[in-house]
Amino acid sequence: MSTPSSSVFSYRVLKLKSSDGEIFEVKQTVAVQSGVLKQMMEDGCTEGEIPLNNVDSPTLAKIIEWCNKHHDDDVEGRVLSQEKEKEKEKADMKRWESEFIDALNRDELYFLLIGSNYMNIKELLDCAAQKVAGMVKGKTPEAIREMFNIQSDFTEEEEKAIRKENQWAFN
Amino acid sequence: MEMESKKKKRNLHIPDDIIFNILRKLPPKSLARSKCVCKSWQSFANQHKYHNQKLILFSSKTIQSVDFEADEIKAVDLDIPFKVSNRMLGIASCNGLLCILTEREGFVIWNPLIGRYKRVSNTSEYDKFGFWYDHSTDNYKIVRFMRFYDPNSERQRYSAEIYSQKSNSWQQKEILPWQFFCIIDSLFGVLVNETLYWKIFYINNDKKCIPAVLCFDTLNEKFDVIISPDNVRISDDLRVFKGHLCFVQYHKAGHMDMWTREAGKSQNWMKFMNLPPFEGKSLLYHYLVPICSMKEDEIFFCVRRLLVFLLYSPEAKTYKKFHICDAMKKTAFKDWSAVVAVGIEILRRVSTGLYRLQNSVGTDFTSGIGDNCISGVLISFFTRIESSKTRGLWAAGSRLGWMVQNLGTCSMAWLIGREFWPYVEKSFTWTDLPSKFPTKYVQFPVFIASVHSNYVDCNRWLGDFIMSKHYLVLAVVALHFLVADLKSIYAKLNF
Repeated sequence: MSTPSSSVFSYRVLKLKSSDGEIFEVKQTVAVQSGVLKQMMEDGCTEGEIPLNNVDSPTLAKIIEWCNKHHDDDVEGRVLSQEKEKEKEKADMKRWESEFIDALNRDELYFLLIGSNYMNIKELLDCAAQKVAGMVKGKTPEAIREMFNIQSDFTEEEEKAIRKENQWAFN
Repeated sequence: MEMESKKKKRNLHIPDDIIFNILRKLPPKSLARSKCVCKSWQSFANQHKYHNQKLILFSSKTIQSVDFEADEIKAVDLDIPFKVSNRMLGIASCNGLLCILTEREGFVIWNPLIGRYKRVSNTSEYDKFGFWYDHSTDNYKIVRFMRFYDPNSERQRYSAEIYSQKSNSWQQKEILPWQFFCIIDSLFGVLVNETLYWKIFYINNDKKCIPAVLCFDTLNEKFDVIISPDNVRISDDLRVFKGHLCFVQYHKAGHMDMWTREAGKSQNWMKFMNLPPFEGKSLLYHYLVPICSMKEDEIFFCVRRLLVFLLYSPEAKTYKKFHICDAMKKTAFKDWSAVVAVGIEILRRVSTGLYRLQNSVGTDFTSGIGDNCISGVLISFFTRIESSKTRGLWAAGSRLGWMVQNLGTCSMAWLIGREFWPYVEKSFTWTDLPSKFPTKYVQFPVFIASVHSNYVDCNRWLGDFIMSKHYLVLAVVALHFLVADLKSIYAKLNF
């Protein structure tokens, strides 16, 4: 009786269109991890293709891989009665996350940052930001500038002064 | 291929909000380095505050921090980067900075997160203080109270001075009215919502000396006074609880009432919680000090002086012991020189419970020591407020005599007139060695010796002398002995 389009069940999929035109199909229950897509679903404007102009296809594939992994298929059906089981699951997930992030090269990581920020996927953004923070740690300001392609906007004197003020951090 | 790499290069600009999300995750040292990258990073790093609430355990030699968020609740010794030749006397905190008062070496303002510190110039350690952060001038400040004799009003009064970390100097703020009679108990005030609070004895319009609260609004730097809740005694605790000023009223049977002030205009005190005795015992001498609220509204308590921690569930009305691994042991405080203070929130404030003889008040007693700066004679005075039967008074040689002035204003005036006053007068004209100043015994109190037979608390060095006040006895003993003799003298006294 009811048409597929009116169904709210999990097989309902969204069509995400990456910046380079590729279409990805994602289950609603997975897509809900994205704050932006969740909002669109609530507003009922997910018909047709959803253009994600800031996310290219390799990045979108990665993001969907992350969301699929983090999506609890049947939360209702599965009761984790044992504390230990929960702990283990948590540890497994942590391991998977770090492997996932570590496998990315720097550019992929940056795109993932931008993409997850754009789609508002907080956990992924945090995880990627943590990784980048680890890369920043211990680096000199010059190396950090190179890393992020930033030009210093300090004058020579300003830079001298601020270095002096923060000298303790360089020891 | 070239197209693609170009495109990537162009896209590689990461928006600032993402950058800040990254910087937020950096440890302090790396964040400080990142300030040197560019202006927007610098401005972010300057504004960033680490969320880092910790419980601080404090003794005269060690500072420990406890992270409640950690997997294992464990006390870790903080690595103190500055030299402390003597003891540490008290600790306060604001915005993650600790302000530590050290004996004879003044204050040190210290950021334990990054290890930087600054010594405060020209400090006297003999009075009460408060430490806060002034947002309007981005400045850390200390207020201190110096007591002096004002010949115009013929009263002892407090002069308030303010230290600014930026200018590294002290400035006199104002002279408090003489009705602000005596600031009591904890060395540093309690900081709640930009206001500092101290317990004081206040002389009301009927010339009665009543427990009250001295407030210092740090925003406009103005002093004021709040009358305490009815029947609250000066020995009850002034604390901060869930962001409110709170009085903890201890009842002899061991139960406690917590009072706070109503919001809005009236600001009347109201009782908001009643707590049962711990293990049904009278904890009169082992006060439970509320430190902070925890998950599910549980309250974290420290049993003062035993250094035992408890969690109280308001719902079940039960206490359970709370273990902190490696926390300093009670034995550390058994040492006569040791001092306990416990507080929460490195970032915001640390409350302290330092007992000092000068102007200090014990469980049921007032006691005081005065320095006569003219002759160097010390006068001490001890009395029990609540019962006229057990007043004890003792004068010993060393330095000053202001306390007597204050006494003239309260109900103990008869005492001075009759017995004490000649000694006070003498103290002003004494030219011989202070240690030869005669000792006057008025009425020696009855001792209850069984509770603390092995240590004496509330001690203070004054030159060659040590003053100590025993908690459970009905009055207080002052000793003037040479250091080397201390142990044998305590043994002789056998209290």
